[in-house]
Amino acid sequence: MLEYKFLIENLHKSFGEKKVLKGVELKIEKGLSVVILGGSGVGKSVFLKTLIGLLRPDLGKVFVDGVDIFSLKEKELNEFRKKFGMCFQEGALFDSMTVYENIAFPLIRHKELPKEKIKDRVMECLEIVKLKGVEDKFPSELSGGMRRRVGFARAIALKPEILLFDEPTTGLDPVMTSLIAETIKDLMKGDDVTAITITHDLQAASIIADKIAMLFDGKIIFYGKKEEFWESQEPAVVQFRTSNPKGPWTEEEI
Amino acid sequence: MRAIKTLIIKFSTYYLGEIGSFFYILYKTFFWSFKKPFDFKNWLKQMVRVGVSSVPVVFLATLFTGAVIALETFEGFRRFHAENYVGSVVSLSMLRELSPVLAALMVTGRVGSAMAAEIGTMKVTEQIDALYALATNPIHFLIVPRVWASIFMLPLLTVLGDLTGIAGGYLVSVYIMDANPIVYEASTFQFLDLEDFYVGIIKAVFFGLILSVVGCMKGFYTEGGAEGVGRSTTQAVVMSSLFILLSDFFLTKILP
Repeated sequence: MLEYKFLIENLHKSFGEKKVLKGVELKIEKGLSVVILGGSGVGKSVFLKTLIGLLRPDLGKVFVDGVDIFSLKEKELNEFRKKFGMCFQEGALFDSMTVYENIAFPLIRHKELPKEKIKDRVMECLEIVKLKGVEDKFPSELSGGMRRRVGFARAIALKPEILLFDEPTTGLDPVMTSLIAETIKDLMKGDDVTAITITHDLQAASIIADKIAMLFDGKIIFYGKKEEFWESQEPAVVQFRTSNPKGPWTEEEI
Repeated sequence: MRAIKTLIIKFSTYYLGEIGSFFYILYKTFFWSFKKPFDFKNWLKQMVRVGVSSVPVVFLATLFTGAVIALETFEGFRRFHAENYVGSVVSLSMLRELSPVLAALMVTGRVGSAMAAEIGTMKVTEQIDALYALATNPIHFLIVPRVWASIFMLPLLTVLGDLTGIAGGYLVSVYIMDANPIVYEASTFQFLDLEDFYVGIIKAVFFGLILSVVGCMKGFYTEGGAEGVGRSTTQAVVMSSLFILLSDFFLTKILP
């Protein structure tokens, strides 16, 4: 029997008059890397933030390991989030802290480890994301790609079971995009980590994904293996894949 | 008439919302104050920011205020030969009123605004979301230390203000207005009760609470990028100052 890490049922979310999610249904298997594709402003980030409880849906449920996260109390949800590692679009590093302090932050807050162990883990995380000699720098001294990789390092510090990536390659050149995508793939190795990445970048998706979902008009219109995505004849998928200016995406926009 | 009615409704809705947010943040701050982990390093850092770094401005503001009161009252009191009471006027007004209010307004301008700007910037750059994602409640990590640091440090700054204010009055009276130093010193403490000192300290505790909760609240609810951060900072200073002055009236009425 398949073991689902995420069970998302009938998720609705509106901001004022604007309905962003209109009944998202998705089941994500444990240990997979799933990429959620969709155009700008389609509600990908809203969806991702709902999965970790940063946004509360108007309707619908999110089960993680069988637990309805919105039934948890504030402090319980806080504890539950230790299962997650979230990587934000621009890294969202704490700009008053050095790279070292950023990565050590969750370890200091949640693990009672001696200083040496914390240092070892920070260095290990930096090595995993292929960064060296930046631990004493402040986020403002790093390039966009480096900031994101430090964000990855911070997210994996507690060895989470689930990794969430919010547009990890937006605004990066193709070489850096591949490097970031490869790094995400590396983070998946070994432990039974489930990863969800939202992006509109097909190059990154082709490297990262085991399975691809497409969010269109507030719903998941496609969910399947990477190979199936390239063969799908669903009009919105075809338009997205072929970068065609005519089709459901542009009609929706108009 | 209709326009005025709409304006009044809009104005009261806005302020009721703000008061609601204030009490919500206040409640959450106390809720998270007693949860682990206790980040003493962070608390200490905030105490230095609120207290130690504000010493020069509070020192100067209260020194000159004490001096000005002495200057003004000396001239006035001389007209009916009551110069000997200038010391009492300075010490009473500094201890009960001016020292806590001035310290609070100075700290609002220096630290309350910085709290709003810092937390506001963290909000618009997703650092607050990152804290949640790292299983850290931002109220616990950011607001609790700032509020407690302000509650602890404002009374200490007020004590400093009391001393420098009285010193300012003494310097002006004795060295500029040629008052008798012994008479002036006696007059300073002649009508002073320990109660007067406590009133100022209690006010300072409330003002510390107000300026830090308002500053943090404005930062926490910031929306709209750099412009939003600027707006929050301005609102934090205006709102804190208003709340401080309004609550000062009620505290003066309630306290002995």
